[in-house]
Amino acid sequence: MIDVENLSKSFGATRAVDGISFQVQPGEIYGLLGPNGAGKTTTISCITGLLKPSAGRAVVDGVDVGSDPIRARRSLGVVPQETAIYDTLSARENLSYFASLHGISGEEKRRRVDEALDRVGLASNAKQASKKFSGGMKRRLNLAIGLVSRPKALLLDEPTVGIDPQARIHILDVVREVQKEGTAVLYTTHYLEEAETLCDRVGIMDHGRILAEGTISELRARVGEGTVLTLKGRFNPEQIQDAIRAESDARIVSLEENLAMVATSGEAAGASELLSRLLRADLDVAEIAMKEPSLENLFIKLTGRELRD
Amino acid sequence: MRFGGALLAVLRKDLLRKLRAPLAAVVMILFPVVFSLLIGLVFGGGDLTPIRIALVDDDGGIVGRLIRSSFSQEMIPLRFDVQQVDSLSAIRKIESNEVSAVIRIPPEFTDSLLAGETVALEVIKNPAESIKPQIVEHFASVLARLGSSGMHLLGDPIAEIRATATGDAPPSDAFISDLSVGINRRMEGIGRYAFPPAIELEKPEVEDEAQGESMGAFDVAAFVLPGMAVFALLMLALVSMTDVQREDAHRTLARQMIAPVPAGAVVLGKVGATAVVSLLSILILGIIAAIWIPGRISWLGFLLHSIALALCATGFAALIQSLSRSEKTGSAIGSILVMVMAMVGGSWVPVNMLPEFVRKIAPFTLTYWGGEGYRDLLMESAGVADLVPHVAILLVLGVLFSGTAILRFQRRYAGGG
Repeated sequence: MIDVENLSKSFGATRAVDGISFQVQPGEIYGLLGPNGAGKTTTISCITGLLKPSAGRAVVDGVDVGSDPIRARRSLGVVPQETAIYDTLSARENLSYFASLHGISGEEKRRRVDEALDRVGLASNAKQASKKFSGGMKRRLNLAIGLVSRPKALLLDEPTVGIDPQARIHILDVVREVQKEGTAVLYTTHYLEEAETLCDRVGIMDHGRILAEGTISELRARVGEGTVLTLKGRFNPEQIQDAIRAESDARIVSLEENLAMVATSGEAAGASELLSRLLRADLDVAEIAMKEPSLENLFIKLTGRELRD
Repeated sequence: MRFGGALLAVLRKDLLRKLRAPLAAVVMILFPVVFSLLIGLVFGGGDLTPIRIALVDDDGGIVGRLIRSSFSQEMIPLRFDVQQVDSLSAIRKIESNEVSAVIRIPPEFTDSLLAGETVALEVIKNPAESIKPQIVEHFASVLARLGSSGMHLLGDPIAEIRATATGDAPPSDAFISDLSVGINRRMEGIGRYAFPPAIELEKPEVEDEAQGESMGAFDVAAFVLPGMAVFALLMLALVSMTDVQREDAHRTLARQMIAPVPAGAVVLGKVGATAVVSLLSILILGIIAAIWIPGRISWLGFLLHSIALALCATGFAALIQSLSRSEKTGSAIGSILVMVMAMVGGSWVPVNMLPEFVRKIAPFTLTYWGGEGYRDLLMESAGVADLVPHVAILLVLGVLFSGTAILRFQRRYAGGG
């Protein structure tokens, strides 16, 4: 349904998206996981035709976005990162307007608007001016606008940023619902938990490139996912290198003055052994953190930094 | 979705948004009205003292006598205080600000006119005054046109006129009567600008409907109001179109641009909504002006001109916003450009009072065509046909401005469609 082929986008000398490719099938949630500035929003903008790719192309429902953007957009629903709604209009008026832009009119429009309002739990607030909505309600209306046209492909750009846990759960539930109905969902996030719990497949993105792609289990297996030890204190890199030299399972992820990240193979015993070895070395360690296997560890291993950096 | 349907959806949505903020909408609509009326009240609307004119008749012929007699007809003496003097005294009166202008009938005027030659009626304006000399000039131009028309219309009787003028026998009563009637009609043609506003009279003169023209009022507001209205309208359009920048900042514009509709429909829909607000404002202003400055105007001409002006003004505002990256930049650049156009295009000062080089630039401004159209409607009793050039030029400019704005927005939203 969504086919991105060698897509690149540069702004002057900055390459925001660097030759990425991925596909999203009907009924699948594909997550683009990466920190701010990774190129996720730029990728979505290229798929919607809002930005013209420097190279490569995006195809939606068999239509090349670059050559026929209007036709391609007929299959697309987009939920932007910002709550792009009209504050002075009611929820119903907002939905009705965007439905009109999709060529939906009359009784059909009324039905679709009601359906979208029900779906996001705003039916009882349909006539209320959206400026009176809470942040979570605005986010839900933002989502409903993307759904009102019953799109074949839904693009969600960090739809849960800055909202309360209850509203987040509601939004994630709606996304799962539309997935079950056969919609292809492209979901960008920098929340690891969301990617882990929601997405069928994940592309880990940083500096405009997809560093790894696959299901969660595939990704863990592919990079030998294990525990990551983070040490902070007064030591120099050579001391860390000396300490783990004998540990065949250990690997240095990142090493700086006074900060080290070391990964193990995934065996709990291996992590304990490594920790003992490090503590026996003459290191002035002020803080130790141990991270269990997760996508974040995977991200750290791939990029050398934490996702929230 | 088809272009028209999308345009209407955007238009409806934007008008609904304006209705949801009624105070802002009312202020926006009333701004040109209040602004123009305030300026009009400052510069006009009160009792005008008679305009003092020094008449120098160096000809002494029949035409001179006719011109002199025209100043004594009906209510004209109430508005024009004409003193016949010699050339030297006339200049002294100008220098001492005793008169607003001098009308000089040069030597051989009657002979040359009757011989079919082109003649010139001289008007010397008092440089210390602004509006009144313009009125005298306008009045004199009417006299000149009347003379020219008379020469074309009379044709064969010219010989008789010449004989009458050069012979010992006095001109026949019928002949003098014909010319006088003609002059009177012309005088009546400008009459509505030459008398106080009817609304300010305790008991306005009962109009003779058979004569058609109202003996209304000259009001300086009739000169000032159109220009000020055009200026205020442009400012309104500019303020209203900043909405496109706000939509850009709130990302609702981007959201519309990624809907399956042409980007042009979205931009034109917004232009249309601003044009509707502008038009509403002009119509209110037009109704007030019609009460204030009585006289027949072509309402169809007024409507067509107003629609063209509203589209042109909003197209201009859309272009400014499309060239600007923020609301502040757009407002600043737009305000400066509008003020320059208002100055050059005669919104604040009549164009013929501006320096020669500025007068040459004036027709390249939309304020000029907007203001002149309304002045022609108010002061020349222009009809729809007379306004065709104004309306056509404003519409062409509106299309050019809006078209460029659409292209700019499409470029901003690269794949805009």
